[in-house]
This record gives sequence, structure tokens and C-alpha cells, in this order.
Amino acid sequence: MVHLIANLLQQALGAVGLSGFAFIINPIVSAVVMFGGISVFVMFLVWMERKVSAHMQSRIGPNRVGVFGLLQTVADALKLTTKEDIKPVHRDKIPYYIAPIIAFVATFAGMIVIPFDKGVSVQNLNIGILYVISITSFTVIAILSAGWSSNNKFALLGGFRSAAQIVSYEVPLVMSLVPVIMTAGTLNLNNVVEYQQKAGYWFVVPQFIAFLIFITSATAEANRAPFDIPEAESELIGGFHTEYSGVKFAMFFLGEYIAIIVSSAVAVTVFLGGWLPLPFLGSLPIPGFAWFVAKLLFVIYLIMAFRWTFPRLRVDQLMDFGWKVLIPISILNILITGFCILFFGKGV
Amino acid sequence: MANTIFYLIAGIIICSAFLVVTLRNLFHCALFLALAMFGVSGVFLFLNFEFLAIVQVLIYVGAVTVLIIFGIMLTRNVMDDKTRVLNKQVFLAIIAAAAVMTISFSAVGKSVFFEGDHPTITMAETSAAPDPPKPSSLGQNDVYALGLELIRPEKGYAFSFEFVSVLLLSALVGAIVVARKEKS
Repeated sequence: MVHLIANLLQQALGAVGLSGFAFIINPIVSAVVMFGGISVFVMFLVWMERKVSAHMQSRIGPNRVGVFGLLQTVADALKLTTKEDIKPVHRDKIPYYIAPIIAFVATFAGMIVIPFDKGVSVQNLNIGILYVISITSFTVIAILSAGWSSNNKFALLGGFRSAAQIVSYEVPLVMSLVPVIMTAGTLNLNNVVEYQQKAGYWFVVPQFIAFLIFITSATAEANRAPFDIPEAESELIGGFHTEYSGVKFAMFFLGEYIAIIVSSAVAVTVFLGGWLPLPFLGSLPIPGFAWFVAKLLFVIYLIMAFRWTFPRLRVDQLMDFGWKVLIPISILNILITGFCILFFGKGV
Repeated sequence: MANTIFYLIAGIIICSAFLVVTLRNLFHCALFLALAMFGVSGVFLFLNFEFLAIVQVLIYVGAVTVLIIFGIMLTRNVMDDKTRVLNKQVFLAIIAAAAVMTISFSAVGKSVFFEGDHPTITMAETSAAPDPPKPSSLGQNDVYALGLELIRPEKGYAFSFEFVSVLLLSALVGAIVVARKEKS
């Protein structure tokens, strides 16, 4: 589909004598298709989140707009885009304007290397895992800029908390992936899935602790409850995006949901076998893409369920939990995995 | 085409590096520092060294710049644009900068570069009909080669590697000692 559009556009460019610019067609088409798909998916996720939270609180949730309230998010998005853009007078203009853009682009760029099916990803990087981690670390700069440039004490406090939190939880996040990289011997997300296919097990089985650490740190990285102290509505009004409204707020919002999608997609690829079918259902004629999306929705459901299961942590508890619990466990996990590989081989 | 991209990246790096040292709002300086670091990773990417590019972003943009911004926000009087750009040590700083530049230039001049391994971005290659993505062999081998060089005991960089890790460990211990509360 993507290739078809790209080919058509390239021929069109060639027809008007601009074939020299044909090399930019593929990235642009991929980006547009990804953006469209992701936006629709995010709208679905917002609806899903409201339904999940309603279910967990014995409510009904959105049910007025469209069947099962499915079009509620579309209505909300339309409302957000037509809202008046209220800006603080003494803002730091350029960082204030750029912050939501960075927040959105940084997380969106992480989608590039995710393999949705066998061989289906925008770019198959050999260092895909590292790429996702490093490109999404831009969000912290966006959040700091937003908190700083809003010139508002709540926004600044939210920015501080977020910087401390994201920098701290990035360490266990990376460390939880190390045992898998050691076993599979590759940083390529496609090859990690192929390794799981050859080995006959998903990494969630031998590396269950790493999976838990990853999910916890990913929740913290995305500023989701119970780790939502950077935006904690009840104490900081809205944290770093207090002073943002309309489309700029929508970009932060979109960025946050894409961050959840990217983290969950990495979790699915690395720990849950990516596009591979469930062990006992391998003979069914279900495409790999469907398996991927089903697992993705399962992990996202887990993260959404966390929000209504655990109370918000205090700042000091958050730091203690990250540095004194998660990091020592993940270091121990790396050590044990190393010994296992040394003495028992990789098992394949 | 390839040259244009290189000069574009180089221009971004030089401009933002210049703004880092001349702007009077420290927060803006830090943001331009992030941009300069990002530009450097662009150069690595341009040289087909994906691994270094990614690590550059991860460490310098994701960690170092964030810590600098954090430090700036915690110090007082930085919201106004009255930070002095120059102070009494300006001449010493010029001498130090010149020395660093001389040393790095002479080091780069003495390096042996692999011939025939230049990045080539040819039109035919990039504008061809898209194939299913396949891993380019270079990036993978880069990581393996780098890892092997770092830990190989003979002719490798094992000593420097261990030396740097001891240095980092001592920095960690030092940071804990500084940050620890006094018991009194």
C-alpha cells in the first residue's frame, strides 16, 4: 500500500521532470501514512482509556457520540483544534512554541523502527532498540522547555519533577533490555523477534522480572499514573502543560499517547514475540499484524489498568523506588543472565 | 547532494555552538547546546556510523544537556537576560581553547582513515523502488567491532576501557560523598 502510493508519486514527479527529488518521496509517504494511522489509533486509545477507567469504577463511560461512544474522541479533537489559544504574556516565546512540537516529534520518531509484521517497518535499523530509547529521550527537553517557558511556578515544578523522573527511570528501562540483547545477541528489533521464533519461547518467560521492570519504567517514562507526579492534577494543576491550551495541548496529549504506544510496542516486540502467534494457535490463518496489534492492546490495557489500581507515589518514594529497587534488581538480573549464558549456553 | 547535506549540518553545528557562548539567556544557551550535540550526531549518521550517532543523542542530548538545564533552573537570577558573557578569565580561556584545538587538529591529522569507505549517497540507490527493509551489514558489524576492540586484551583498548570505568566509578563515589547528609 505504502509502496504503491510511493511508486505512483515517484512516477508523477518523473513526468513533470523533477525525478531528482524522487528520493524524498518514500520518507514523506511513510511519515504521512504513519501519522494518519497513529492518529486514528490514538483516538481509539483515548476512547479505550475512558471505557477501561469507567469499567474499573463501575461507570458506563462515553456512550452518546456514535456507537458505544466511539466518536467521542473525534468530537473532543475537533473541540481542541477550534479552541482559543491562550498564551501567558511573559512567556519565553520560542521555547514555549517549540516544546509541544519536540514532545510530539520525538515520540513519533520512535515508531519508525517498530516491526509490525515480518519485515514490515518503516526503517529496519540494526540498532533499533538503542534508537527508540535515545530518540524518545528528547521528550524530557520538551517538558523542561515547556515548564520553563510558561513562566508559571506550577509548570516549572512539573518540569523539575519530570526531568528527575525521566532521567532516573531511563536507567532501569535500558538495563531491563540488556539481558534480552545479551541472549539474542542483536540490537535489531526484527532479529529479536526472529530469535524468539527460532528459540521457541518468548522472552517474557525467562526474563519475566525484566518485563516487569520494563513495563514499570515505561509507565514512569510516559508520566502515567501512578508515576504522574510531573503533571499531578490534584497538586500541580497540570504540571508542565498548565499554560498550554488548544492545539499545543493536543500535541502534548498526542505525544503522551504515542509514548505509551511506542513503549508497549517495544515491550511486545522484545518480550512478547512481536508478530508471532500464540504457541497453540499458530495454525490459524491470522496475519502477524493482527497478532501484533492484539498484544499491543493487551500491554496498553495493562498500563491503563495500573492507573486505576495504584495510588500516586510521592516524589521521594518515586526516587527511592527507581534507584534503590529497580536498578539493583536489573543489575542482578543482568549478572544472573550473564552466568546462565556462560554456563548453560544460550539454549538454542 | 551529499556535500550540501554536510555543509547544512556543519552550519547548524557552528551557528548553534556560537550562540551557546554568546547568548545572554542561559536557558537558551542550553537549548542551543542540545541542538549542537544533535548536529554532531547528524555528522556521525552522515558517516554511516549509526551506533555513535545514537549514543551521542542518548548521552549528550538525553542526559548531559538535561542535567545542565536542571542546574541552570536551580541557580538564581537566570530568568533575566543579564548574564555576563565575558569575565576576567577571557584570555586564559582563549589560550585553553586554542590549545585544545591544536591538539585535536594534530591528532586528527595523524589518524589513518580507511580508504574507499566513504559514504556515498547516490541517486540511483535512494530513488529506486522500495525494497522490503533489509539490515545494512555495516551498523551491526560496527557494534561488534567496537565491542571487540574495547575488551580485547592485546592490541585492543581494554586498558583505556577499564581506566575510564574506574574514573567513572570514582566520580560516582565522589558524587555520593558530596550529596550525602552530614551525620551531625
